[in-house]
Amino acid sequence: MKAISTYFMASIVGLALLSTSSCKKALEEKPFSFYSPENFYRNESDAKAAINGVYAELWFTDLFYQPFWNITMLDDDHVAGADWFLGTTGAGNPQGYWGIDGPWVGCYTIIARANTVLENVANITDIDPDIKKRILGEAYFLRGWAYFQLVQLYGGVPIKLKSLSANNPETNVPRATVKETYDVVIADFKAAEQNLLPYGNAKAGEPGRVNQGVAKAFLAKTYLTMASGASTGNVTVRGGTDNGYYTYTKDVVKGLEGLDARAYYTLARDKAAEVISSNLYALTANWKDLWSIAGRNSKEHMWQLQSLAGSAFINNLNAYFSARSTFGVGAVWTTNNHYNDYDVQDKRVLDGITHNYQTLQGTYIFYPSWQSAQYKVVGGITYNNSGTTTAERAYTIKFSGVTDPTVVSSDAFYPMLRYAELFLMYAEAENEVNGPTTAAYNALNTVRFRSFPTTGTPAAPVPEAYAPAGMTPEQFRSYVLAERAREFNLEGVRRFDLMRWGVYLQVMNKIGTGQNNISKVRQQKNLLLPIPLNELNSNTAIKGNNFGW
Amino acid sequence: MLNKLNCILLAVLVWTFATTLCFAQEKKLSGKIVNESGSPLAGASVSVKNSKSSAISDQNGNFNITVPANAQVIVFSFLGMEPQEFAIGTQTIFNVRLKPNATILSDVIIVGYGTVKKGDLTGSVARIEREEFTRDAPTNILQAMQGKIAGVNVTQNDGAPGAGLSIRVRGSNSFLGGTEPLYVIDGIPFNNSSTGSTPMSIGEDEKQTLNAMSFINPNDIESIDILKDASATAIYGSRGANGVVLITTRKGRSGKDRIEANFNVGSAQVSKKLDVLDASEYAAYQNLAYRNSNIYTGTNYTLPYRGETIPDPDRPGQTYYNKSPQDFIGDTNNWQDRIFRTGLYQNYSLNISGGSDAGSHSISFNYLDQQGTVMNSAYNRFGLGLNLSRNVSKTFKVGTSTSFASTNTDGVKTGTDKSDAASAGIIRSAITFPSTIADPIAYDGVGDAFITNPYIYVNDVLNKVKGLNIFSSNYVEATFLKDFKFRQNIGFNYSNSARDQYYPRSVYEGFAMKGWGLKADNIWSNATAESILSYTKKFDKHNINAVAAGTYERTNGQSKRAEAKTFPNDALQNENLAAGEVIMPVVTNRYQSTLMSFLARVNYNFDERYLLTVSFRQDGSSKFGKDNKWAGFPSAAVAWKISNEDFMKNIKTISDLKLRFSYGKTGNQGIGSYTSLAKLSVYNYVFGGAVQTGLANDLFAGPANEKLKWETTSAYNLGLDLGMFKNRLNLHVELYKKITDDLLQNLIIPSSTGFRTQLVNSGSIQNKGLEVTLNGTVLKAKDFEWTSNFNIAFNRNKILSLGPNVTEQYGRNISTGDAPFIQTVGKPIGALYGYVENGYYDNEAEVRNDPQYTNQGNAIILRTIGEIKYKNLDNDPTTIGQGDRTFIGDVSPDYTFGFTNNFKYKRFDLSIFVNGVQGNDIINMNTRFNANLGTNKNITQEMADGAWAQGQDNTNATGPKIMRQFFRNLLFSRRFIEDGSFVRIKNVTFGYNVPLKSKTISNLRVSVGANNLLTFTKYTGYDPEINSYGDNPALFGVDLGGYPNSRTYNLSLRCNF
Repeated sequence: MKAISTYFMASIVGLALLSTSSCKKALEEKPFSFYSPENFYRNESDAKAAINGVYAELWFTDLFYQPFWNITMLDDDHVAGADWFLGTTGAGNPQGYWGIDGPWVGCYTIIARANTVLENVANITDIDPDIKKRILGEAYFLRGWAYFQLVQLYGGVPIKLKSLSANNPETNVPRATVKETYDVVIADFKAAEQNLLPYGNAKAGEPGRVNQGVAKAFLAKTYLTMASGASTGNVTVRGGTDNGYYTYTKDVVKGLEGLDARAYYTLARDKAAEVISSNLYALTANWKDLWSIAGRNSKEHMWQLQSLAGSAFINNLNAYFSARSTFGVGAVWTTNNHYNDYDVQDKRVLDGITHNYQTLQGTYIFYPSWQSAQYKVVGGITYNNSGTTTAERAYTIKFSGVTDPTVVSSDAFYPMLRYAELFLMYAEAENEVNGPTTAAYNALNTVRFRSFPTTGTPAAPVPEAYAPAGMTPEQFRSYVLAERAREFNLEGVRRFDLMRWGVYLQVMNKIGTGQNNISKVRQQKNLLLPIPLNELNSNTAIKGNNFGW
Repeated sequence: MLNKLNCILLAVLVWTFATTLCFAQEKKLSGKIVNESGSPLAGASVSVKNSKSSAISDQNGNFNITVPANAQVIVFSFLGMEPQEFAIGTQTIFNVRLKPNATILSDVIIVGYGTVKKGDLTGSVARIEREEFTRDAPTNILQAMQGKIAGVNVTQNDGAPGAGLSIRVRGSNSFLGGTEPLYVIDGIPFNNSSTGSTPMSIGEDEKQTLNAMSFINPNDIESIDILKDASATAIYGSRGANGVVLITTRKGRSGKDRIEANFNVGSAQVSKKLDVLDASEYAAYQNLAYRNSNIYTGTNYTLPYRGETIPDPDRPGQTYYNKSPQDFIGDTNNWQDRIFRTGLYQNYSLNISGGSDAGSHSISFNYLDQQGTVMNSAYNRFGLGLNLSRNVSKTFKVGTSTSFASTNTDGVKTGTDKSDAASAGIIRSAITFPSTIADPIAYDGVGDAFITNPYIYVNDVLNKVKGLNIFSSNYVEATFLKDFKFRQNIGFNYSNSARDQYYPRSVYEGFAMKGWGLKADNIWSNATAESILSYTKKFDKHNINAVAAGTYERTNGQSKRAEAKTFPNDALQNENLAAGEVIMPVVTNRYQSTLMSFLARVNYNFDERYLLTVSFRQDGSSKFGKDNKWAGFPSAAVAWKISNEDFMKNIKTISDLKLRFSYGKTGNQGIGSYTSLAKLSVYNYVFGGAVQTGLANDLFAGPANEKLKWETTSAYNLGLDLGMFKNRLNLHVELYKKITDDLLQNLIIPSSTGFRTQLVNSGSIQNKGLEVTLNGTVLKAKDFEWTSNFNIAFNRNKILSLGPNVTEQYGRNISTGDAPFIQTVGKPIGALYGYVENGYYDNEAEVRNDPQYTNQGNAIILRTIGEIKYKNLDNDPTTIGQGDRTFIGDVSPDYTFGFTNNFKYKRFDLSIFVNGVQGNDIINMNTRFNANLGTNKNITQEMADGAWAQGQDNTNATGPKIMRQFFRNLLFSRRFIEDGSFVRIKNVTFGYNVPLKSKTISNLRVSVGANNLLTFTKYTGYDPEINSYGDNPALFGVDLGGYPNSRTYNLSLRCNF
């Protein structure tokens, strides 16, 4: 017995000595399943992973997984939809929407990650210098893009150009002015322009990455946004309940008062011209191909949000926007008024709107009721349209080109920038600088011609393809605004256009209760989004929210 | 330094152990040993003091022993009996009657790394005995503790079988470290983390947690000791701040083998149903909503319930009859009835125990099968417990206490914090699902309303969690040099829980994705080694007891989650995830943490009058920043047993009087591993059709914090124990004050930093309180006895600081945009912040008079009539915004109490247990999600009746006008906060001990009982005892639509052989 006890005691002592001597080591934490910044940012593949992490936020729940497009696409004069979906952001009550904080949080996440990339990738030596430059350019671009969205949605915002760290611990940063925020946007886009490689360069990166042309285009867009916001004058917009033409005196966008609009229009025009004259991009000849699987990442889609079927990178754009959907029918469509704003020959409605479809319940439906001669009987099947308000739904095809349209989440791509916009930006800017010159008309018509049929030999666009000749600058301005709505319907452009032109409240309230009983009544506070409660609660340098919130 | 200390200590031990003693010359003694009732005791031990001689009694209790000639004292002992000593002198025959050892059963309190006689306690320790907590047939031990001890507040998180419970000892003193006390089972710490035992679910919106302690069968527990003050808990150092619960499992007692069998069957029903609109009322409500919309917002809706034959939009050329509200009269469809049921449960346990001088054994089996009151929710457990000890020699003992449990939980989705109908969970959808839909399966819930059909959900959705738990506490114990004892504990603890979940096509999630399956599991294990040396010495009037120990604990954990969507059909459910078209990335995680400690304690008492306890523990934890891993936790306590003073001897009424005072420091390290480090998380993205790895700072981890350290609580306790009339009446009063510094907090930092939160040490909280326990025998007659136990506890919590320059901060959002939990210096932790309502806009003039609306268009003015008016509390009357919020509630109770009355008459006994919580608020998120009158969700009768209506007296209106609209944004006000006070007849048990002539059955007891018999409360939800966020102290008292509480009736049979 004694022997046992002695052995036992000896072994205990042994164990105790073993454990205590390794005391310090035993308490060191050993991470198993995450990477640590200390052993990262060493080589090219680290740098790539770091910049990829910035892009990832675009796809994340805060931004294009829904909140960003929900907030910016469901809130304009041309959109209608199911009230369960448009009842919050689409009805002027964004605070009721679960994703309301998304744009703020998502943009700032991009900013913080871009800052980390800029600070760390700059020190990496084990990397191809061109790739390094490109990655820095991508980071500048994405940061600029984020500030550009923030300033349009929230006004002036806190400027953070360094990551939060022991050397930069301040979390309470006050809001900059609108002008200061735009200065950051411009500086970042310029830095991106310097660092990024042109489209087509072997090292410019895979589809989905931004390139030099994209930076130039966004620089042009920024100048244009500032210029239109600062300018004064009238804008005519078709709408109201009767789809009549109404002329509004535009408001100057808050924070842009006193800006030299003409100078910025000049900058915008020249930058757009640079991209056009580079000849690196091209319009997709057949408009419908833009929205097919084969048409993804084409020369027209300068920057597209990527998806991948069968992976986690899928979204429910198809289910929300397409005629036949897992919801029965899609939840968002275009208003009848906007449908009537297109010429009947315009492929953007001929091909771009679903005219015949079968719902999930098996019902055959056609649209619109007033074109029954064309769409009621197609391919031997009789389609139906009861003519009631709920039946008139103009569904876009823009998000239906997916691998599996029968599931709620599939691989729809989202257009972040299309080459067509460069022409319309050029037309708009040229008109504001020099009036409706031939150059302005040519740019405008380039976009129109693509979506109209041709006639005769040699083939020439049908007469309706030409924008009306002899417009005054004010008419031309209004026409370009309308053309942008036709070209970029449900691509997240219209609301920003109404805002930058300072006619959002006028246009929306002219409608009042919109199609399908969606309220278009808007208040002053709807001009800017509310800053998230968590930001106000924790950032002591921000005193109070945007007006009305 | 510490290393050396440990080494020397152990070296000394070995040396002393090897020492032996010598003897010479002999004489013979004999006799018989019997128990109190005269039955012979076999295996009783006979020994001689200061000698090696010993013997053991035979079957008939007879013994023979040879002792040295110079032997002076003979000792008779038997496990569980009071040892007796006799002077040998010339006597050679000893017939001895041993009495049960009262101290072992009740008078010795476990205090952590040792025991102390109840009378010698210097700290605040409370005990619940087996009889007390098994009376109401609890299925888990936390439930057994509810309401029994002053200052220990146990709240069930919701009413689901197997669901988690939250426990708070003396208020919350942490935001992040949790309020869970440290559990120590047979000496081995057990980390009760509900989240650790709850694997991830699809969507992760379910807040329901599983009870990690559920593997313990209450019938296998001997006693529960709860250490409340710092002098008692400081010995557990860094984990003592929330109190310590010491659980002692049942051990075999001396004598022949005993068999105890328990049979318990019962039924449970939801204790309340909400009165929602029936079909006809709902139809009328919907019509009104659409009509008002047309009136106030200019829409042109046709009414949904019109009573006319109309064309069928889905079948061209055909018609159908659209019913009117009148057509529904007599339709009593209620969705609550379709998902609630009477849940049956059965609980069986068998225990075989026994012991002799050579050791003891206790083996138990347990089977519990519990149906939930919601269809298809259930919980079952199979458990096995083994408690063995062996006296290898007089000085050397080994033992083990090992349990094994396998559990199965069938869950239903309840308690979610998302507002969209698809994730509402079945409780909320049972209230809101339209009552006009009568056929339970005709409506698949997939249409454009997206309301979860509760019936289909409970029937079709798979959501099971399987658990496997092994808990083993083992020791060897050696006594040497008379006064020294060395004990080595080795503990091992393993838990594996796995979730299987599948949403088929018949429900919204599965329909949209064509099936959605998940397999997720959590595994963790924990190993503990403790070396404990203790010394006990009594000389003259001095009593010394000292303990020194070194401990080492390591926890390893890992989790896995595999998920796939879009299956060919639902046949395989989640059993072949590779068959999914969409395979989600597999998420894995692994972690480890280590805790090392050295501790020492000295108990000194002089003449049973003056008592002193001093302790110190040095803890090192891997979880903290690299320079802050070690911390020391000292404590001291003094007590004065006034009743033992000479001047008290003549005061006969007072049998016991003791005054205690203690001070100590304890810590809290209730955070995860790696929280002080910066982390990069995976954020992949697709480029040109291929996924590429992306890495970025973990959004939710926040920036690194190398300075991260313990939360430290300094606590004072003043206690008074008074026993009167030979302890027939006992009064215990405790007064305490605790200050917790360096609070661990996940501070919300501006999202403009790119992070959401940061883990820091900042701020301090104070808790002070008073606890009174009064128990005694009210009446005692020949056949009748009435005993009572009343306890009440008051706790006041106050935030003293939140760190430099911070005067207030907010808790996490509890749903979109709602962050009512504010933390303000000077206010308690559970303070609520929000808007104040001021009636309704009764007419157009009233709207226009409000500066908010002066410049608004007519459309806005018109629609605002009948809407809620909010008080303007800041200087800007044109906006109701964040500046208009103020304090509107507090979820902390003013006091909690428990009151037990036991009556005994001959063979009958009756026990009535009442408990209550007063003065606390509850956030009723059911109301929050449904109060927007006029949506297609069903509402309660009360809400419908209280709505503002044009042309009626609206002075007592309780809600805005009923209108289908999308602009109304209900601000967070008292509307969603209710008084959660309640008084509940928690348990009534009536028992009868059947008289028996049988020799095999020694005792047979039959009892019937009812739990949650009656509840008195103003709370309008299902039950005021709800805590959807589990052990998150910063979000206490929220009802997210949790599983309703139930009333149970049970029949129990206990049989002893």
